[in-house]
Amino acid sequence: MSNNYMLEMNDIHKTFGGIKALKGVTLNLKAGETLGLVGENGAGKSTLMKIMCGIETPDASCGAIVLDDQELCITSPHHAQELGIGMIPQELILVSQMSVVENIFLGRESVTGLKVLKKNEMIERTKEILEELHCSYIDPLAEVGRLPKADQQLVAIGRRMLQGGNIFIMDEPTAALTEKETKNLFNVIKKLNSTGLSVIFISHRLEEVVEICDRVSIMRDGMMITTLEKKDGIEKNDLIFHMVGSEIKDEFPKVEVDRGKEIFKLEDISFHTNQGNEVKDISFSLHEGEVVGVTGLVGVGKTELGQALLGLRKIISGKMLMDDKEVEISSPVQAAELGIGYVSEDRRGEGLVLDMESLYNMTINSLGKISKNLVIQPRKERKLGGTVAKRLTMKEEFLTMQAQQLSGGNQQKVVIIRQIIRDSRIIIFDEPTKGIDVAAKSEVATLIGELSGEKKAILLLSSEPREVLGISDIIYVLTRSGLEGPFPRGTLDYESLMAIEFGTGGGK
Amino acid sequence: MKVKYISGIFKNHLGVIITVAVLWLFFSVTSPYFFTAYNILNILNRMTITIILGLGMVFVISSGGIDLSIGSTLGFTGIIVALILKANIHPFFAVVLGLAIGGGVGFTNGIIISKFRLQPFIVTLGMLSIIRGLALVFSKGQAIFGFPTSFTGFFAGNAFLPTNVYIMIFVILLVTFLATKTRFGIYARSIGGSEESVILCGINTDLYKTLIYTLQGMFAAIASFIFMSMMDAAEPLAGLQTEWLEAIAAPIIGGNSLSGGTLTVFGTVIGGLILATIRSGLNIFGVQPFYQQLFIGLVIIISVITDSLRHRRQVQ
Amino acid sequence: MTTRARNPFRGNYIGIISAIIVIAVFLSFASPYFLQATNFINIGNQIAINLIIAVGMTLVITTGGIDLSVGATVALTGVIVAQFLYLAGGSFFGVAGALIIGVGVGVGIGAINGFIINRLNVPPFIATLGTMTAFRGLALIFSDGRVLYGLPEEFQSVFAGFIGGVVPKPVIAAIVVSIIGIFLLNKTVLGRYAKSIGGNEQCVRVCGINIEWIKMIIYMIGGAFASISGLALTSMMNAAEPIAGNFYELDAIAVVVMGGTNLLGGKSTVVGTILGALLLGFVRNGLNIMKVPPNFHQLVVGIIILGAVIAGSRRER
Repeated sequence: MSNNYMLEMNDIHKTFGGIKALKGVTLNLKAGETLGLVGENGAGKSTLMKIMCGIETPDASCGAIVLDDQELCITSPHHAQELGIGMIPQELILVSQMSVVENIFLGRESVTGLKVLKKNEMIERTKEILEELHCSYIDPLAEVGRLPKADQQLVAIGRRMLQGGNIFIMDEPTAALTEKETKNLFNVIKKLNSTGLSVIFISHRLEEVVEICDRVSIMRDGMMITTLEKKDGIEKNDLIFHMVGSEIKDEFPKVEVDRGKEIFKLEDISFHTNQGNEVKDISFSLHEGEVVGVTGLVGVGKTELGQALLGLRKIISGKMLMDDKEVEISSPVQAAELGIGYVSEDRRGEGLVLDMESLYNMTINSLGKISKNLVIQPRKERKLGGTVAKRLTMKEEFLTMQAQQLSGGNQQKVVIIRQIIRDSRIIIFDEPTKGIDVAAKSEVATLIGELSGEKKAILLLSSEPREVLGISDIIYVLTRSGLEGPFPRGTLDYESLMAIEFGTGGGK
Repeated sequence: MKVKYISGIFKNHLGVIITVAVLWLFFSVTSPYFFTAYNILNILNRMTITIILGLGMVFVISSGGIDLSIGSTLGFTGIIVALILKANIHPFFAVVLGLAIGGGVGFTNGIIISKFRLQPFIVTLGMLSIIRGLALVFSKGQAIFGFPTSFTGFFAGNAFLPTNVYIMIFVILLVTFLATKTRFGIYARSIGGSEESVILCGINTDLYKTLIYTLQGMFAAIASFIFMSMMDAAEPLAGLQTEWLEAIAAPIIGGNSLSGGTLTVFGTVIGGLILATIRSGLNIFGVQPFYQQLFIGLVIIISVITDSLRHRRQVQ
Repeated sequence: MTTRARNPFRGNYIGIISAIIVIAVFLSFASPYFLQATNFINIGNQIAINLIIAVGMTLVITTGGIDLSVGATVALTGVIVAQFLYLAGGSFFGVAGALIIGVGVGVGIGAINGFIINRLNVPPFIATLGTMTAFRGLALIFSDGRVLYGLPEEFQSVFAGFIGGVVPKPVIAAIVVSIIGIFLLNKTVLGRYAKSIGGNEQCVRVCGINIEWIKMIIYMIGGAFASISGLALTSMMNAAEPIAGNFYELDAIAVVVMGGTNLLGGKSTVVGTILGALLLGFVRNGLNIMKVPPNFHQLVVGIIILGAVIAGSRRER
């Protein structure tokens, strides 16, 4: 059954708590090739890779994995490492306070019989590795935290190389790189291929995928749709076509609302993303009763935009106006005073106090409404919470349960109810339907619509194109070269939106 | 937060070196008693305890932890060793047992912290209580006097320089070796820098954290040998005055970050020197012990504030 | 799976209540001195001093912080108040002034702690470790290292003596403070904010709530309670010792943790703290009247503290 594939994963199924993440996926990898793996968020890419790395195990019995003509199970991350399989995750496994040598050799230091570090030997080997990666300009003794992201990436690859083995999985390796650095990385990948090493390249940057990969496997909804060969000629649109599929359900119903007056305006705002890139010249405005959707690829800076409006992120230049008066928002306290509310992307980390009752989570920033002279009135609180919960078809018994005990969808409802009770004028939603089931998704969408109907201005930040298309009145696309738009509702469809998102992904 | 290498040491520690120089200049100029052989010897003697304790503490801090029980370990080990010596057992065995006891306390700290995943400061806070209690129990609340000169002569005797200085030098060399030439030093720093990354690399962090606290305990034992030899007395509450605070202050003054990730031996030594110098200067000027305690408290706060400001600036 | 989030501690109180009952019963049989009125008065006073501080500590720990300077606060309060009384005498204004100044000392220390923690970004345990040292030093300075005796009788009578001839005044004070603490924590906006901050500070920050202010107020309250305890102690002893309150912070933390409050913040219970104080008080008293050598006391208490911390952490798993 070899077909000169180095690795075969056949008909992999994986179920998580009743939900099928992988529905019979087959993936093949040849020696010395770069295989692209693309698909939307939730298509199943990371689950498949976790199985390959031994972090998860497939549902069915083993034998579904064939490596070098041997059928086997990958039982643990350690086992996967022994088999020569290793991933370089998007968040690099590095200790920033330590040097390049120390990071590359972390856990694998060379020692003499007496356990003394063979520093010179390690430095020499590091230099060799850096040479192989075409980055000998990197000083082995340099502190990793101070290197540019691209060099940190190379150090992470160097670490992987020292580990040995033939299968490298790279997860979004170019997310933080410039065009030049990406070219450099591609040269490195080609070099690795020439020595018989295979690379699985996971990325949303489709034109890059087309450039570097020998073959591309496309996943959608937990299934492997097809694998295209470079020699047959692959174009970006082919990938988009397979990623999208033909069914676009009406997941996100829209409530039509009249647009009111302008409440908030951004003029030439610029700020830094978490990766250090600068996002420049962002200008748009928010109106009462209108949903403005800002979409773009993961990492392009949408969350950071939301943080800037909330006072959690410093603005380098530009100004913000509220009701035509210039405002400076330097902390969430000020944002709250201005009437800006926020539904965070990180529900568990930022959105909820997990071990506290859901009801308390809902009222946390509206305590003035349910208290008198700083004393909380429990009956008033319960009544308020109950009323709003009913509106969202949330069962009343959930109110007294700890937030962490609710499902993802209900947790999100709690966070949104908080905004409803707060009665903010502007509400920023960051990835509001991420990780929740289909039924809850449409409820949330309806809710957002209703909120705009109450004369609130909504800013929707999302990397889920259908969500943005379904709910927004006006769409902007944030790319690396700036903000594209405005696109009024109806002027874009799925494919044209994706084209804009991916179209300018190649950098300046 | 930098990685320190011998070649760059002076450059990296410019701040504290200048501080020492300024302090010495100030005290020498303002008092005739400061720059005398007698006083310098005093400072050296005072320094040895602080530095030995500080060098054990620096690994703990580097790994992102803290040990508040170090003072009581010093006192407790002293009492046990005192009892052993009084029972006419050869000092050699007393020393071995003392090291075992100090190490044992550290080991217990390390095991509880890593296996139960508890915060170091609360565990060592509790241990401080227990060990202090044990010290009081075994000593019946009294100091123990009079040790054989073979013991006190070794730890607080004289051989051109006081013998405790040689011991301190030995400890400095040992710690420098561990920090720069073994995995122990690397793992201490990396656990403090990013424990998740270290675990993902397959390193047994529980093991190394336990070793770090054990080493700390053994250094506390060594410090107690010196302390009791200097006083020719073992007090159950020894080490609980300011010694344990100085053990934490010395590494921090020297540039080690409280949140972990840095490891500078040189800085710790200079930090100990600064503390001893300040004490000596204050003594010479007749500043009462209570003012001194106040001063040390302020020095600690200031160095931690400086450290956290440094940290904050770098994060941005 | 529904878990009633209300009163999550109810089941856990059974453990500590049983422990208290067992010890009380044991001591009744084991020693003739236990069930005597004078003994209960002693227990009451000692528990009161500890509990007043511990209630404040509960609030501080709820926000995810810690305050190691409470013992120093006790000492410094006593010393400053004593010096004031030497000057002002025992008149009504003298005593009233002393009480106000005393609480002011605690509030001031709390404000300093709050400032260092909030504005200077120093971790609470280091910040309060430093202030503990500094303020202890100040206490020694202001008292010249001596015990300050001979305070006006009018001051002594504030906390010495009984109400209704039966209940010692310090115990009343402790009960009042406890009620305030329970009320603050469970019924007020401040308490809700404190629990939320301890549960997930980032979430509260993102919600636009002024965390700095809340933490500042909490530390000031904690400081105030510590100084009230200092006033009570000084009044009862009729003397101010600069080394008073040594390791009181440890006892306070121990009692809070034994009562079930989570050291990392969020889940907290003043009722649990009260029970913890009772338990510790009975254990200490038991060690005393059973003539256990004083040197063993520290050891036993230390073991109980560490055991409680470990047991507390496993309960949360």
